[in-house]
Amino acid sequence: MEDEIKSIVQEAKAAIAQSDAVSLSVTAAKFIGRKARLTQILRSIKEFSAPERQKAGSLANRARGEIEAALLQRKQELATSAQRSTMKRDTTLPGITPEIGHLSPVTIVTNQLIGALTELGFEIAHGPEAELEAYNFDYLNIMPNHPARDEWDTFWLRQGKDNKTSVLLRTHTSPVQIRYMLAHKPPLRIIAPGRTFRYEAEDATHASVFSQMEGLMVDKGISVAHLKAVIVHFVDRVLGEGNQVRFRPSFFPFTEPSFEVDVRFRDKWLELMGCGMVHPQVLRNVGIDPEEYSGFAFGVGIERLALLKYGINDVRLFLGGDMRFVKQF
Amino acid sequence: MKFSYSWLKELVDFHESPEELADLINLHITEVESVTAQAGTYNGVIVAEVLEIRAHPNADKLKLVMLDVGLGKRVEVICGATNVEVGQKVPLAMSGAKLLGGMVKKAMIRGVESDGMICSGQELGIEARSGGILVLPKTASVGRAVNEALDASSDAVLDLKILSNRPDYLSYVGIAREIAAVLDKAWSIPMPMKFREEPKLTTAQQIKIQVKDAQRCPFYMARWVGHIEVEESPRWVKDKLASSGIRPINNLVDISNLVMLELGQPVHIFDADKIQGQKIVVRQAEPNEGFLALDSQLRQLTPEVLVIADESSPIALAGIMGGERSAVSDLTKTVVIEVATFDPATIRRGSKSIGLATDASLRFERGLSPYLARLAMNRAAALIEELLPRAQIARGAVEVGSKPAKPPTIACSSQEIAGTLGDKVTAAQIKAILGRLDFTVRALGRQLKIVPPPFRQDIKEAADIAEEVVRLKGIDTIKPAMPVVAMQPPAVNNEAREIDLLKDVLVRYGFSETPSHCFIGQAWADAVGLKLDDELKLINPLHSHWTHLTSQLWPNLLKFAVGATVPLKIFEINTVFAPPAGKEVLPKETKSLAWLITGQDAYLLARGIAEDIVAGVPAVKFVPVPGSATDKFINVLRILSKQHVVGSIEEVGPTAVEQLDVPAGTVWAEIDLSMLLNLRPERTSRFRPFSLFPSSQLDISVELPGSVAGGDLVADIEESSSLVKNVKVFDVYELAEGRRSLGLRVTLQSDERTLKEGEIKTTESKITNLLTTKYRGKIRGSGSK
Repeated sequence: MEDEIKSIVQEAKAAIAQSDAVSLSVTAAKFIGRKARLTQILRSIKEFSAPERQKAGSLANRARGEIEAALLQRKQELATSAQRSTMKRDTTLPGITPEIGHLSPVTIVTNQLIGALTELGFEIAHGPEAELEAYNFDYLNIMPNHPARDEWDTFWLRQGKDNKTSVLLRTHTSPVQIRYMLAHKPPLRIIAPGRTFRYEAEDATHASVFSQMEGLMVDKGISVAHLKAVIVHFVDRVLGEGNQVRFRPSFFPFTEPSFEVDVRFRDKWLELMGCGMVHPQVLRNVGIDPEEYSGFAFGVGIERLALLKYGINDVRLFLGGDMRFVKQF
Repeated sequence: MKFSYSWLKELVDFHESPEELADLINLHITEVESVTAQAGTYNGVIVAEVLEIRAHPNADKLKLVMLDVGLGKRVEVICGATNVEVGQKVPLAMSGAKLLGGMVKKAMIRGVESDGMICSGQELGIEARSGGILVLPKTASVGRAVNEALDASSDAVLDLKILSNRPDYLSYVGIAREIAAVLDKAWSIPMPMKFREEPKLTTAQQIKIQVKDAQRCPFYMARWVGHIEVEESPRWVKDKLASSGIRPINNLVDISNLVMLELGQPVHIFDADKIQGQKIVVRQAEPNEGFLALDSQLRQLTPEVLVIADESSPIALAGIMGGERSAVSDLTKTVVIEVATFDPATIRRGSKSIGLATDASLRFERGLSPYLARLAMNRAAALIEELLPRAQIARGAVEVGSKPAKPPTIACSSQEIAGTLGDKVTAAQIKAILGRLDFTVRALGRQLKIVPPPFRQDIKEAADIAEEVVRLKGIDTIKPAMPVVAMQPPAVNNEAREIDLLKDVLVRYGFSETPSHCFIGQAWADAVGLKLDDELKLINPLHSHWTHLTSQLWPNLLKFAVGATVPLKIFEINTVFAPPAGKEVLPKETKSLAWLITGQDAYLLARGIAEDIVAGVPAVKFVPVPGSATDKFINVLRILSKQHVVGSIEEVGPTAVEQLDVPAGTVWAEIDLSMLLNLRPERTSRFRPFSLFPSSQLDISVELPGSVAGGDLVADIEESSSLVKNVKVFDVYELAEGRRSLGLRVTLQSDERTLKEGEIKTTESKITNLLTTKYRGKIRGSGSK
C-alpha cells in the first residue's frame, strides 16, 4: 500500500502539471475527490490494525497534503499566466506624447538672450512702444533730413509740431537706451528686449512688427574688445559654442565705430546684428561726458536669431497663430 | 551701388578675384550685397570656324555644319540657324560645356550625331534676344576660349551697400581709393583732368549766374562749351555705363553720367540756347510753380524745392533732375555744364516733397564737397575734349559761392584710439593707416593732429578716427576681452519676471503662446463689435486691415480661431494701447493677458485659469453681466476687484459663431495685467500644513429650479460647516422646464481627528437641509464613503 500511495502522488503530480485551468478541477476530483483512490484508502484505514492504521493514516494524509499543495501551486501558476496574457501588449506600437503648451520661439530666444546677459550683470529695462520722435531718432544722432533715416521706415501715429510731440511706433529698441541714460548715471549695463515696428510690406523675410533686444554698457574704459567679448558670449549661449563670429565695418548714426556682426552657422555667413561704440554725440545728448565714459551698444533682431537657430523659412510665421508652427517649439 | 569688377581693376592694381575682392570690401569697406557674374559663364565654349555646310539627310530645316576647332581637329554639329555661313567664326559649345540652360551633351538629332552646339548670344547670356547664332569677329582665334573674343569677357558686378555717411562710396574713385588703402598701395585719381580752353571764348560772357540762396546752394559753377555735335558715345563709354546699370543716351548725357559714376559728383548739362536771357538763377520754387522734368512728368512745385531757373521759369530741379525744355537734344549746338554743391537737407526735403529720388539726389543728400565739384567740372571738360574733339571749351568757369570750409583738425592721442579699440596701437601705426586714406597727420609723440581729406565730411572727432583705424587694420585683429568692472547685481525687473512666470503657468496648463499683430482694421473691429478709437489710428497704415493699434488682445486672438479645425488653447501677453491720458503725448501703454479656448469644457477652463491667475487680488469677484446687445458674446463674466475691472471672460454667441466662422463654444478671456500686478501681492508659494486624518466623500445629487445660481449654492455649502474642505460639481444635467440636476462631491475632513460616522451624518443632513429649504432642491440621492 505504501507503494500504491507513492505512485498515486507521482501520478497526481504529473497530471496536475499537465492540467489547464479547466481540467484542473477534474484532475483534483480524480485524485482527492470522493471517489478517488486515495480517499478510498483513507476511508478504509479504520479497518486496519492500530499500528498499521497510524502508519497508513499519516502516509495517506501526507500524500493528500502533497497533492493539495501541488494543485494550489498549479492554480496560482495558471492564474498568473492568465493575468499575464490579458496584460499582453503590442509593444511595437508608437507611443503617445501628451499635449503640452508651447512658448513662442520669440519668447524662447528672448529668454536665452536675457539669461546670457543677466548672468553678466545686465539689468532689464523697458520703454514705450509708441515713442517720441526725439527719442527714436534725434537723441540717437539720427538727424531730420538725413538719409540715415531711410534705414528706419516708420509708422507714424501723430505728427506734432516738433520731435517731442510727434509720435511714432519705435523702429528699434534703441530709444530705451536714451530714456535709461537720461534717468541714470553711469556705470550702466542694460538690455531692453521688446517689440519694434517698421513701415514695410511683409514678405517671407520682412516683418512690420518684430522684436529686438538692445544692449548698452557705459563705464570707464569700455572698448571694442569688450563689445566683441560680450557679443561672442551671447551668440555662443544662444546658437551653441564654437560658431565663428565676424565683425564688418558699417554705419549707424548712434555708434562710432559701427559694426555689423555675422555668424558662420551651418556653413554659411549670416548677418546677425548691428553694434558699435556709443557715439560721443549720443553721450553728450544725454548728459554723459564722453571724455570720462565710453560704452558699447548692440541691437539684435530676435526673429532673425530664431530664424537662424531653428531654420524657419518665413518670418510671418511668428505672428501667424498657426498651430502647426507653434507646436514645434 | 553696382560696381564693375573690371572697371575697378582699371583703377587699382590688384590681383584679387571677384570673390576675394568681395571679401576684402566686406571686411574693410562696406557690405557686399551680392557678387554676380556679368553675362553668362561660358565654360567650355570655344571659337570655331565654319568649314562646310550640308543639308541634314532627314530634316529640311536642319544643317550639318563642319567646324575647325583648332589643332587640326574637326567637329560636325547640327544647326538650325539660318544665318550660319562658311568662313564665319562662331562660338561652339562642346559636349560638357556649361551654359545658362544647362550642360551641353552629345545628341542624336534625327539619326545624325551632333558633337556640340553653335551658340546664340542669348544662350551665352550676353544678348537678351537671339537673332540666330552669334557671329564672332574675324580676328577671333580658332580653338581659344570664347570669352577672349567677347568684349564683356569675364566681368563681375559687385553690389555694395550704400552707407548714408559715405557719399564717396557712390563713386568708382571712392571705392578704388579704399581698395588701394586696404591693400596699402600708393594711389591717386587716375582719370585725365586736363583739357584745352578756347582762348577767344569766356564763360562769363556767355552766361550769368545768380544764387539767391547761398545757404541752400553754397557752391555753383558753370562752364560754356560751343561747337557741340551730339551723337552716340563710343563703345567704351556705353559699356561702362551699362555695367553700372545706366542706359547710354548720347555723348553729352553719357559724359555727365560717367563723371557721376567716376567721381560721385552729379553733373548737369543744359542746352545753352534754351536758357532764356543767358542767365541762371538758383532759387526756391514759387508756390505751385509747374515743371516738366526729364521723366516727362509735369509737377507742381512747392518752396521746399530748390530750382535752377532762367529768366522765365525753372530749367532743373536742383540736385534732383533736369527739365525737358533745356535738355540736350540732337540739335544742341552749345551747352552749359553745371556742377554745384547743394545743402543735403534741402535736396532731401525737396526730393521727399515731390516723391522723386534720383542718382543725383542720392548723392547730394549725403553731402558733397565743393572740392569735388571742381574736379568733376574738369573731368567733364576733359571728356568733352576726348569725345567731341571739335567742341570749343570756353575759358574759365563761372563760380559762385564761398570757399569750401576747411576740414576740421582733430586732436587726439594714440592712447585714446587704443583705449576705444581695446588694443595696442601706436601713433606711427595710426599715421600710416590714415595716410593711406589721404588724411594728413602730424604726430608729436602720442599726440596726433589729424586733418581729413575734403571728401571725408563724415570725419569729425576721435571716434571717427578709431573707426578708420580699426577697419583698415582689421576688426578681427582686436582680441575679445570681457570688461573688468565692479560686481553689481542688476535690479530686478518685476514686471518682466511676473510675465515670465505667467507664461510658464499657462504653458503648464497646456496653452500655447501665439503673439499677434498689434494692429486692427475697421472690418474685423466691426465683425467683433469693437469701436475703434481715432487716437490710436496710424497716419500711414500698411493696409486697411491694420489701421489702428489694438486696445485689447482678444480680437486678434479670436482671428486665430477663424476656421480652426483642431481644439485651440492659446494665449498672448503683450502691450495694448489706450489714448493719451490728460496732457500726455504718448498713448497709454499697459500689459495685457488674453487666452482663448475652444472645445470641451472651454468655459469652465477659461474661468478656472482666471481664478488661478487672480488669486490673491483683494475682494476679487466674478460677476455675470448681460451680453452685448448684438449678442456677439454671451455668458459674460466681469472680473472685479472693488471698483476696478480686472478682466472679462466671454463666450462667442451662436450668431457670431456663424458670422466669424469660429468653433462653437469658443471662449476668450482677457486680464489687464498691469492692473493685476498692481493689485496682487507677489505670487509666492507658501506651505500650509495639511490634515493627516482621512477624509470622507459625500456625493449628493440634487434637482434644482432653473433660477438657482450654482456658484452661490457651492459657496453656501463650503460655508455650512468647518468640516467641509471643498465642494466640486462633477455633473450638470439639464432637465425639463429649465430644471437642473447637479452632482456635488463634498469632501469632509478634520485637522484634528478621524471623523466619526455620526459627524458625517450630521453634516450630510445639514447640507441636504440647506439644499431642500434654501434652494428648494429635491435630493435625488446622497451617500458617503
